[in-house]
Amino acid sequence: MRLRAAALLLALAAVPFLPPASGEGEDFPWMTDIDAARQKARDEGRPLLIVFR
Amino acid sequence: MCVRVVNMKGVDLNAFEFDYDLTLAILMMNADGTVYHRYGGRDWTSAMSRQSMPSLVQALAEGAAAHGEYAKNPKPPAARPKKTIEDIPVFAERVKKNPKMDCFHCHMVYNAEREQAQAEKRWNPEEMWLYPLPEQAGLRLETDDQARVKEVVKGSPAEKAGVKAGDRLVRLGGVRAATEADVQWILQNADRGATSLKIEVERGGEAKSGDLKLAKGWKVQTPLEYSWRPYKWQLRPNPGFGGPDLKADEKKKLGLKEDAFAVKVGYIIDWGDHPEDGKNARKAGIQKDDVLISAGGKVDFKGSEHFQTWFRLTQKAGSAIEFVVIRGGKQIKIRMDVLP
Repeated sequence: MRLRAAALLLALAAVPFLPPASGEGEDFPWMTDIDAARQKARDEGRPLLIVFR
Repeated sequence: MCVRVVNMKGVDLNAFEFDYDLTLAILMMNADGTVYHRYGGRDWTSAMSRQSMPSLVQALAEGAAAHGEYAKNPKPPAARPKKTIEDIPVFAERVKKNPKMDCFHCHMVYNAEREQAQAEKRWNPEEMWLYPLPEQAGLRLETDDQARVKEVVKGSPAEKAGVKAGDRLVRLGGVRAATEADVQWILQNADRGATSLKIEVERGGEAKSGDLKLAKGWKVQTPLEYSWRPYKWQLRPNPGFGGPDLKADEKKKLGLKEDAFAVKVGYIIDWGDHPEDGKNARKAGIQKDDVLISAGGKVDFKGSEHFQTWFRLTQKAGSAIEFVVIRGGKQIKIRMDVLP
């Protein structure tokens, strides 16, 4: 769990340095479509971490 | 699943509720709408004053653990219809008039909701007291370990409830609270009148609890505490002018102390919904490039935003206020009527 938290933290720390709303994919691991992310989380049984900036 | 939202366009306000005045807010949640924990928050001193990497790591770990626990006994909240900022009629009208307007900032949600409520004559000014900090109940939490009580204010509801410094917060009002943002969410949803919340803490491995008895008006903040909120700009009365704080070298040139209050009049409001404010300020004698050093005899403002908030929260329409400005090296007194 600590590893998972650390990975999330690293990703989160990088948020301000990522290009705004550049899309999704390998270069941009954060989704930007909140409804699509919610559906994906629902389908995969995963939690959502949503950052509003 | 990590999501980054920089535009409130299309965001379901009924599913994603947070303090829309913040520049950073984090929700850890289930796709069914259950929010496990929240993170983010600030006070007047700075946008990062209530955040730190250790507490963020802790919050993420709490969120991940909560997700595992929730899966054993899920209790999805009742579904609510999707509501976006574009669904608020006054906002939709604004967008219609400005089709190029495409990036909807978080704080615009509050503006739109307030304007809509005012248009329907149902706005209660007390709604401006948003997301109270734990200090409103007499609790100061550690920044790096946000469930830990750092300090309890003497004579406060928290002290009367038996809370002590070093206690570990477990639940407030029956809701699990692991972060300061969790506490703020619980307080936001508590009655603004006299009310009582059960507070549960852990002390030396033992569970303790008490009643946090909050008196009527407990959500009210001072102008300084409120000064960081964008919400303040929409409140009235409005002085009709404003501008940036003078820098240290600029103050020195005017013979002012480094920590003195000094705001350069950078704009006089001749635009928007209330151009009469600027007209009133000009009529009183305010000029662009004046340096404001006193308002209503008060000189201890922490800066421009503090002054702007103080004016809106303390001045009454129909009264008059005296300003002192520096112009051409001389101090000038200006008396201005306060407009509704």
